[in-house]
Amino acid sequence: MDVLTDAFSELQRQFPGAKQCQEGGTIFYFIPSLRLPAGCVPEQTDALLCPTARDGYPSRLFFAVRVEGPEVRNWNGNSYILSRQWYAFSWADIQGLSLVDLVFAHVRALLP
Amino acid sequence: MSRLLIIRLAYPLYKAVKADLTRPHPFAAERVGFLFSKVGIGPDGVILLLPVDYLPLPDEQYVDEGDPLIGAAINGAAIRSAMQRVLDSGMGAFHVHMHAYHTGCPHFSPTDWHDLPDIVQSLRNADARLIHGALLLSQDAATGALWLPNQDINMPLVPQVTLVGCPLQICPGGRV
Amino acid sequence: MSNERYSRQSFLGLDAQDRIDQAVIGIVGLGGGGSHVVQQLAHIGFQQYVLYDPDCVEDSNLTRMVGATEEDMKVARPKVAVAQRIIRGLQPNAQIELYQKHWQEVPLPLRRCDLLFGCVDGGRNRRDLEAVARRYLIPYIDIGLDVHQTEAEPPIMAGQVVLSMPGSLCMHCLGVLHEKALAEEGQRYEDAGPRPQVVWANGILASTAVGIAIDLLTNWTGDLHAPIYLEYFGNQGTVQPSPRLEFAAKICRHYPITEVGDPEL
Repeated sequence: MDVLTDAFSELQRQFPGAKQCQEGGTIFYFIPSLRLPAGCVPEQTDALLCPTARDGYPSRLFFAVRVEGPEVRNWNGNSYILSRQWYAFSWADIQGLSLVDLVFAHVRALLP
Repeated sequence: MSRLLIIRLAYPLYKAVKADLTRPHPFAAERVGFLFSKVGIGPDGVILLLPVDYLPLPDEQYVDEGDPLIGAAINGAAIRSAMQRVLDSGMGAFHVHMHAYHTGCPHFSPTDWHDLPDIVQSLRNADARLIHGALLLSQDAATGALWLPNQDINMPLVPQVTLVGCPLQICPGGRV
Repeated sequence: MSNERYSRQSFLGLDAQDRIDQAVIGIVGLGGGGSHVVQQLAHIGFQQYVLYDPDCVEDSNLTRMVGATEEDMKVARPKVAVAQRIIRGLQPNAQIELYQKHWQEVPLPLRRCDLLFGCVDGGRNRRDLEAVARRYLIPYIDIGLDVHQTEAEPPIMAGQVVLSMPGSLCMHCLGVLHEKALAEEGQRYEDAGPRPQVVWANGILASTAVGIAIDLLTNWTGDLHAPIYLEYFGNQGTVQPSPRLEFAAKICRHYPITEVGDPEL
């Protein structure tokens, strides 16, 4: 298996049901029912990882809803991707990580 | 608002299909193929069918019926190959042929209406949950016939068919 | 409706008016550019419209929003209502769907459109709109205008009209959308915001776009080919094909023709 397939396989192991999709030349990873840290509302929601540069961010994690977390974030990333509305908060410079670690890093940013 | 069925066929695939269907055959007056379609749901139950793949039929899958009134007859192997593609792809199939001497929105012939239900029933045998049907091309337009899952095989629906390219060619749907 | 009304545009073809009647047209953004588009389509005879704009008429709109009045501004009339009034004044039997919302909030009606005009602000908005058009195989005509102001020189007014046709090059291929510009927009932490706009430039772009749409539907020139990327230079008053067409890829790698329909998420 090549390195990209390995990375996706790891993502699928961590997040069962994850799918690779593409739109407009960008690869996204759909993560169904991502469980969020304690204190977040909702407790779980669908998520969409964009591991490449988009709108000035080196990576972005979109959520199906604006998550209310312990830390207030600037939700500036409304996007319509793959026929759904998605929301992302501004959190820069998460890059150079595996797909799984990208997800963790973005989710961790919901916390103080 | 009544349910609306729309087939949208993009020009790259449309041209590929036309190129195949206009190839001469040793004895068949017309060629036949199968298109396989993805689905989109619109407002108020609108169903969009978006063909993305085409299965041409090799010469040997045609049957010489010896009847000049029959444009093309295909054998069981042809049907089975279409059924297999339905199973493999999870997409509904559309029998497609062409009335090459016509321009404008074409119309299925009485022979077409006689033969299509059996073909569609075979496709349903592969996967009855999908929408199957037929597409008929003219030189510059296309019409279609659709069978929704569980729909009476003798009552096809006629969708709007849009050839998406320059020019944009719309054949409105309607009644059989 | 009398045939006499459309007699002056009969050169479009014998069945042109039927083709115009049948087409469902989506217009996203009913401000400076979109209001021109709506007005022209109504004059030409279009009967089926799907319209989006979340905003109401404000004072600053009156310099360029065709059909808007001071009264509209005083009562903060929704822009979709102004568009409807324009259409009804010419086509009393037209079917008009109005959405006083961002299109992303009510996206399904777009899918029924045979042709889509994007008259929106911001690269991200037009990127997402083009993505929908590609996914549901809808020809998309985009118009945009910018005025670049520098300290030392006169302002530079420029715009574009793009026909993004499924199966042909997209706005990414043509360089209309690119990450650098989208990144700059994203860094502003806000919508594209108020941009310089003037009625005559919007009119040129809208008229060009409508002309493309009519040719697409009627094939009256017999010579329309996608992609179309026309650049408007307001300082010189010219509209011409972009030189980027010459250097663009031959095949769109951003929207494979198999990536259509509802995603399986």
